[in-house]
Amino acid sequence: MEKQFKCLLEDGPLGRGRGVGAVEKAKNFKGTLGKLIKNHLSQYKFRLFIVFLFALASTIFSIVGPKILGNATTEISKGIMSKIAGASGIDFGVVGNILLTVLALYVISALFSFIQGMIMTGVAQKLTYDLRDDLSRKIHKLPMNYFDKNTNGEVLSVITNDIDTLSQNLNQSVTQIITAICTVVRNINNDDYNKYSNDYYFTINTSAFCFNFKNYCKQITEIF
Amino acid sequence: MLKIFKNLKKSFVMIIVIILLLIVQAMADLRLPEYTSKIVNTGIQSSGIENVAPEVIRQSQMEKVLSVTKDDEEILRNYELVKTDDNSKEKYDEYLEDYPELENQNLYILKDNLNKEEIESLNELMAKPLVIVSFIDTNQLTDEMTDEITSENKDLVDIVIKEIKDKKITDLSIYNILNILPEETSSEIIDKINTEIDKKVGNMLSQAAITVTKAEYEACRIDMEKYQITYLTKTGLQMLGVALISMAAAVTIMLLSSKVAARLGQVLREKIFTKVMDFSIKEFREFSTASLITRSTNDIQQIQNLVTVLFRVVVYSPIIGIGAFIRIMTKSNTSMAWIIGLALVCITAVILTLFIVAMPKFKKLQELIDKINLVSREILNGLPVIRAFNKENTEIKRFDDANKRLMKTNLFVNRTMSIMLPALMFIMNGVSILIIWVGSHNVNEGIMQVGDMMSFIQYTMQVVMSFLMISIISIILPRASVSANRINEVLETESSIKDKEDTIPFDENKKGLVEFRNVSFRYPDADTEILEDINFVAEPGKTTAIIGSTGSGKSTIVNLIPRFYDVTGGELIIDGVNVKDVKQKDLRDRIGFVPQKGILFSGTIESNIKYSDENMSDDRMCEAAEIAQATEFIDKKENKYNSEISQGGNNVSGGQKQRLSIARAIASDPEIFVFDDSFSALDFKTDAKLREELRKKTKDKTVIIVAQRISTILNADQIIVLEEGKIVGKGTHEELMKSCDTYVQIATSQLSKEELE
Repeated sequence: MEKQFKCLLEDGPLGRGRGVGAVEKAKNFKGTLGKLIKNHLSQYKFRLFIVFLFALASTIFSIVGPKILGNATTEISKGIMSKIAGASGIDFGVVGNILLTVLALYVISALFSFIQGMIMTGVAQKLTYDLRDDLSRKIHKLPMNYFDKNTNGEVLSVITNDIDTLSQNLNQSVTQIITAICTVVRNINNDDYNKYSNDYYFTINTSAFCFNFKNYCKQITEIF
Repeated sequence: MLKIFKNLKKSFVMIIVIILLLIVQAMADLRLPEYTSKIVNTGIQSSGIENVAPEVIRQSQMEKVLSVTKDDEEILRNYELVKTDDNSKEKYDEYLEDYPELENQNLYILKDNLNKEEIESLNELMAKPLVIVSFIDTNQLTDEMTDEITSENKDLVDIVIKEIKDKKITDLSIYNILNILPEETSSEIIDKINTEIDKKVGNMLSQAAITVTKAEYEACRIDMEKYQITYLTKTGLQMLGVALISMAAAVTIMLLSSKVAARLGQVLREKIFTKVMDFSIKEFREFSTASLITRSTNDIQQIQNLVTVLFRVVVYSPIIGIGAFIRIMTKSNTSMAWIIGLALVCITAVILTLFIVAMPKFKKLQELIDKINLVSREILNGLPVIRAFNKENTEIKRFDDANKRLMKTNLFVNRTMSIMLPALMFIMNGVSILIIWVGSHNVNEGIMQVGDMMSFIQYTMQVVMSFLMISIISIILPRASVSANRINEVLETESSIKDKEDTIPFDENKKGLVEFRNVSFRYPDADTEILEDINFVAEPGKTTAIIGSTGSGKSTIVNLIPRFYDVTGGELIIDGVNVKDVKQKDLRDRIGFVPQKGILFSGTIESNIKYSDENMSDDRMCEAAEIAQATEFIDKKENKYNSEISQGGNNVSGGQKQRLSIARAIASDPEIFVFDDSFSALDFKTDAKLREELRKKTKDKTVIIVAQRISTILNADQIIVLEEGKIVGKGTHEELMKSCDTYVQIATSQLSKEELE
């Protein structure tokens, strides 16, 4: 795909005809991607920055959420322990407060993730539009012999399929990169949790199901 | 849809494996919350103590326990007394290491050959006595409860006091008193205490008992931290193992189902392709080429995508959903089941709303993509014209319009969809908060334990997820079934031209004889005859030419010969046999057909000329090219016969295309040559030379030529003049010049008087 882009957008007319049935490989993935980012993504710098911030915030909140939720569980189990020992039991005021805090965090996280999705969709779609527009202009500038070497079908699938794939991947990978960074950071921080072994396990469990959930969501979105 | 799935038969074994693996994965996934529950309940809250019945208990403590229960024998049966000075015993050292307190006092140690049920019943027997002992020891009983017990029953106190005085008891601990009192009285007191304890501890008896057991272990100087870590590691590793099994299964399933889907795609494409190859021109007209292409690419892709996830949804989700639901209903209590219901309702609402909003646009999206496709295709095909007329900007604008509309619709759809993920995520998170809030009250009342609450969250997520998967597949399914129907339509269409079941061979004595007997023809949906009452014979070694004005049916006649269409009246006899009675392949093997438009395939000149037989010798290829007058331009090419031909032969001229397709027909060495106006793009000189060469080559062959130019056919042995689908003249040029008005008109319009004579 990158190669086709390269051909069409960069040095297409030089005519690197592709052998019939040859396996396509990105010849210069980094270079092509770099050019793509420089030429097309750079104008969305500001918006991408905002997306980054929102995604970051959303991810942090959704990571902090389960941790605080763990506190609630800890509070509950402390309470029940004390009840067994004969004291009054769970302090619902504290638990309630914790839960409300987490709820607020989740609301913010959802909101941020929604805003981030909105902007990112905008960027991805605009980029798709730009790329197609550039292609449609480029087609009129290519020498005729380019079309002798490349069938119309190939050019056509660059215009439709390949650009679609690119924009989809772009949409997903930006979010994924941010989430991945946050996850790594969290894992480093996790060392502190060891001090509170209870906490630690609650967090693991709670975040384990969140992680599972993310996977599910991914599967679901992939279906669409 | 089902019909399409029948094509999965080939992958039967793989599907069985997938289903089995899915069951394995579902089972593994269902186990995970149990481990969470275990880690929290036993590992963390109970310091890793699984059973109420202590595995070791001080002799002194055991005596206290026994004094507050009636089941002395049943309890003692399971324990072994190890005394401090018992160091001759074989396991003594081991015990001493595990329970250092053994050096100070005698211990009761649980026998290690007990099975699960025995331990369970022991747990039940010992829970209450342990708690009672702990209450007595920590003085919680004496203060409030003794009052309670005594106030209800003054007699009992009197009896006890009397007994104490009578027997001169000096040790006034409750245990001692209970042991000394008569059976009746002591059991009465024990019963009282039991009821009081029930009031106090209620549902949390076993949790309370575990705390007592823990204290006992500490008293026996067991390293509790190590004990807990051992348990956590053990359970954690088991959980990890189960998770690994689940993951391995998931990966394998993904791999296999992709394979199955790809194979289905392959089978379907192959079927469609074979089917389409069988189609007559009639079916092509019905489906249209573009639609056939979409069906064999896009539609099949849709099905393939569906199949990749289908097994998961059909097999895995129900197991997980129902399994998790059953576990919730049986293992934990049902008072929180309404939360699941609430979650499901919320999710349904979100999904439905989004789809009602987005669905119409989804359909529109498909149309707009088609539009982009159409515009691009048109631009690409018409590029020379666009450049020649300087219309680039108009075309850019046209493309831009389609592009913009697509972008806007895409924006709408994707933005609507981008609400979905955060919304669903929020519902899930909200549900877990709700569960913790409601659950914490249940925990406080002792109805459930903290670990149960957490596993409840996980089970709820599993139920909700499987519901989500199923509801989403039910949205995708209709879309995929549209594709399935479109594929089926192609597969179920029978070609109108088919080989008969019992075909007969050609008459080998009549090589190259083409006879039209009263042939008439009309297109399936037309009501006028295109051809009517056509009678003529084309003989081997002779050239039959067909001439007539545009629309007179010339091309139709020659299209009947290779049976592209079936005659609707009369008979078409080739080599003495009706064309309907022979195999199409045999028939077409005998015919060298050169269509009106030179059609070439992408590849090289060589691959195009050798089209009928790849293994053809180069000599034959060169000879054919020579006869077709193609060498002249082939030799000029840099790569000669290896020169590239682009798709549709767009990189050679019309005349060159015609010559190459003539060469292709010549190279196949047929009995019957059919040239459908195949010389039209050649200049007169080349045309004449080609025909001359051709005549030499086709000495004993039947040649049928459709022509517009009269010069092409002047020397034909037989000329058939067509007008409005009827033969209006038949004969040689000279004969027709005398007898046929139509022919004379055509001739005089094209040639000068001198040329005609």
